[in-house]
Amino acid sequence: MSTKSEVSAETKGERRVLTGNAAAAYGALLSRPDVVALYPITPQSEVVETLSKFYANGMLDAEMIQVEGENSAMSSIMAASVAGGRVFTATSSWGLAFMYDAVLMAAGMRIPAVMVNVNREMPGIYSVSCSRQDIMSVRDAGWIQIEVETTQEVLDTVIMAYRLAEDSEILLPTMVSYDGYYLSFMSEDMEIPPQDYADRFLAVLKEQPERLKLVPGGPLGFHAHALLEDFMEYRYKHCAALERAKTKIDQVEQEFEAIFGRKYGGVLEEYRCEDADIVLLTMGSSTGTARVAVDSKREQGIKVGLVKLRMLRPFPKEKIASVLKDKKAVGIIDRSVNFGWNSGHVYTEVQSALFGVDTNVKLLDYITGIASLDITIDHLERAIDEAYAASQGKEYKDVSWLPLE
Amino acid sequence: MSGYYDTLKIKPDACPADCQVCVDACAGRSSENNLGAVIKIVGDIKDKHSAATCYQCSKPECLEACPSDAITKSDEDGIVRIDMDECTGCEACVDACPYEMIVFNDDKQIATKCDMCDGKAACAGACPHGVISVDSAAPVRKYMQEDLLSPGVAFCGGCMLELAIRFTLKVLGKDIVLFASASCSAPVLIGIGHVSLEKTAFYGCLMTNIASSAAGYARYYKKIGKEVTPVCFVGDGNTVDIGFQNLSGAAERGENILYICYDNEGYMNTGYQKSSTTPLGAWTSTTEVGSTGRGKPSQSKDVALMMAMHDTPYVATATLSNLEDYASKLIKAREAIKKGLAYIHLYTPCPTGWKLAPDSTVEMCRNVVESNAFPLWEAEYGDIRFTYEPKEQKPLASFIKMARKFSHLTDEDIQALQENVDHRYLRLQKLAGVC
Repeated sequence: MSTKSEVSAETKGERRVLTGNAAAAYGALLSRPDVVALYPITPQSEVVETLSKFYANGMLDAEMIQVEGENSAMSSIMAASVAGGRVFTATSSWGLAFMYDAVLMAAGMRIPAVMVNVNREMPGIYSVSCSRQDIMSVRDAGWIQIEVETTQEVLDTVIMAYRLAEDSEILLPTMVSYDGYYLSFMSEDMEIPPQDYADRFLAVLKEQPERLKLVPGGPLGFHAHALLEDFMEYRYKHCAALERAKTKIDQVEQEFEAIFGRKYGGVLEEYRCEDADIVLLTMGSSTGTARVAVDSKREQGIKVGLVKLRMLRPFPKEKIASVLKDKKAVGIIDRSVNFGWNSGHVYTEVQSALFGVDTNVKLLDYITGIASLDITIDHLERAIDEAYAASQGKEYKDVSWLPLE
Repeated sequence: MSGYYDTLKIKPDACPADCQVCVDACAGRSSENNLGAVIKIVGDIKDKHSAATCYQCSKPECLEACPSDAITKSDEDGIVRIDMDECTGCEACVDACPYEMIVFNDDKQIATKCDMCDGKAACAGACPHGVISVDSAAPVRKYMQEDLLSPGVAFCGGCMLELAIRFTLKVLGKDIVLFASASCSAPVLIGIGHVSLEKTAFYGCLMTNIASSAAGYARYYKKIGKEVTPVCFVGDGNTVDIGFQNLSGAAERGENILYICYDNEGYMNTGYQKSSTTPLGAWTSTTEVGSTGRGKPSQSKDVALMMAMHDTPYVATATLSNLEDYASKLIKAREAIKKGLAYIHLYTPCPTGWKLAPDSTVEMCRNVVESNAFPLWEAEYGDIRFTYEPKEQKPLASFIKMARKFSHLTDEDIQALQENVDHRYLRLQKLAGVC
């Protein structure tokens, strides 16, 4: 992390070279959480360390709970949220697995927590490396999940996540995830926005109907045993709230852009898609490489575009369908393995989104970048070439493991 | 507050042969209501008899039966009195009393009964054998607040939990926030549908996160500068098995929470499976007794001692035969959470899972205290002191098979358990510096 800083003339923010982890910590700091509970795990530890520094320096005016494990991190912030607080935690992979029951509870309880997940391989084959196997393992937990690409986007999205999570029409835990080892440790020039920007942006939440709190002497209990139709109604409302998040994110981003001057496309970002015949579909840190590959193939005359999927849950099936249905072929870059389907996860998600849609688009899945293997320009150009060939009526393989196949 | 009264405490089967001292003292008491002795000696066996008199019933049947409203129960001292001027001598009360404790005076043709000499009980003062005493309810009255638990709750017959929860809530009051979890207490403490059975705010936890939940809640209140009393009330499985990590972590960090573990020595809500506090040799549905199985093959964890070794501000053991001891510990624990985590280990026998007669649970509590199997102690920052010491140690063999989970134990098995009890008690004495 650079210590040199300068004030940007445009935004009055502070320009710094920061890692993704430091950016996450700044995002949390600027959101003014009341309670932060953390447990370190590679490659997320720098988030904990940075927030600990903020706390020690008197910058972070929050209760900081250095818990003895991730389950307690999630559990502590859940109850702190029910008490009335704004809460934050961060984890990764094995830690996410260790808090799994609490992750489920947070969703069912409609806890407006924000958690950063730094993507890493899950246990099974011992590995200290990147993949998105961890975030995919909680796709069914009921959270809002957003994957980001750059350090700036990490910081900005953490702040925006509070506007989603705490919105009275949403009230759902929200996970901001980014690729470990790549984005977690990569340093980029970025802006730390002024505190009053964040304050102004988040102030809207104070005008909303106050959420239910657990109050001593009060009449409410939380997480009671739900029965039959009550239980079903909770699930029904939960799903309805997730659906609302797909449009809420656009509104939140618009307001963010008005104050901060940046935007990321909501549920997904399109790049050179308008006239494209074929599209690469990526998530997170490898998107930058994909832009280079797309540009290079464009120069060769291939009408290729790029879709960066940001929102994994709720899955933006309508938007995906509208963006992809008129394309001829899509190369999907998957950084995780969907056991039992012999594919990546995003591939099956996109397949589902296109079911019943009037389209002839061909889907080509590329499992790559797991175990921290680099997703190279060669990989992505191959995906584009094969998608192009498929679009021309050539035979193609549904799923390819790069670089094994 | 009404409802908790001084009572005449009479040890059963404890009177020496032919002793009549209390009866004589009663007959000679100075009272304008004195129409002769109203205490009597009962029991057919000559060497095991008892003194007995009116129990001052909470719902006296004599009062209900009296056609002339001559009988009243005082809200102030709880004593049931007969107004001599109103009594018509119909003897309806004599017939109504199930304990035969109303005395009919043939000379004056009116009924009479014990009024505890208005609190001075001549019998108690006279008894030379320490059999009769006045048990003061003053300490209990001091602690008792509103009853915060529904009159009807879903526990097994004889279960200690209703008493444990009702009493705990009465002492701690309405402004606590309860943290409960899947356990025997769950159907009561974390509600069913829209119904909750206690008047306090509550939060249903996972089995893995009771202390960490309470800690998070407490931290928010710390952040906003308000005092709060989060009280975890959960079973031994939550505490010492699956949930021990987060409890230990909360203690180490000095979270400002009160944690009460009610120990019924296993997973009693779900069919009596063993936990880490199940004693050596005990039958459970997962430590079966058969041709090769002899009940639980390993010792129980001494959880309270483990907690005390966290050097946390307050740790205590308690049980329901010694309610004043428990109440005073609750009060101390509530105070101690201003400095850190307070832990109370509450022994609560389970009649269903232990195969123990439903009317014997309090007796079991008393037995384990008197036998040193569950010593009553407290520790401030790890410094242990006994809060009660039995005058004479009761052998395990004299009562252990009351709980039929121990019915298969041989004399050698019981001897092994006894040695374990003695070993642990000696260790505790050493830690307390009393031996």
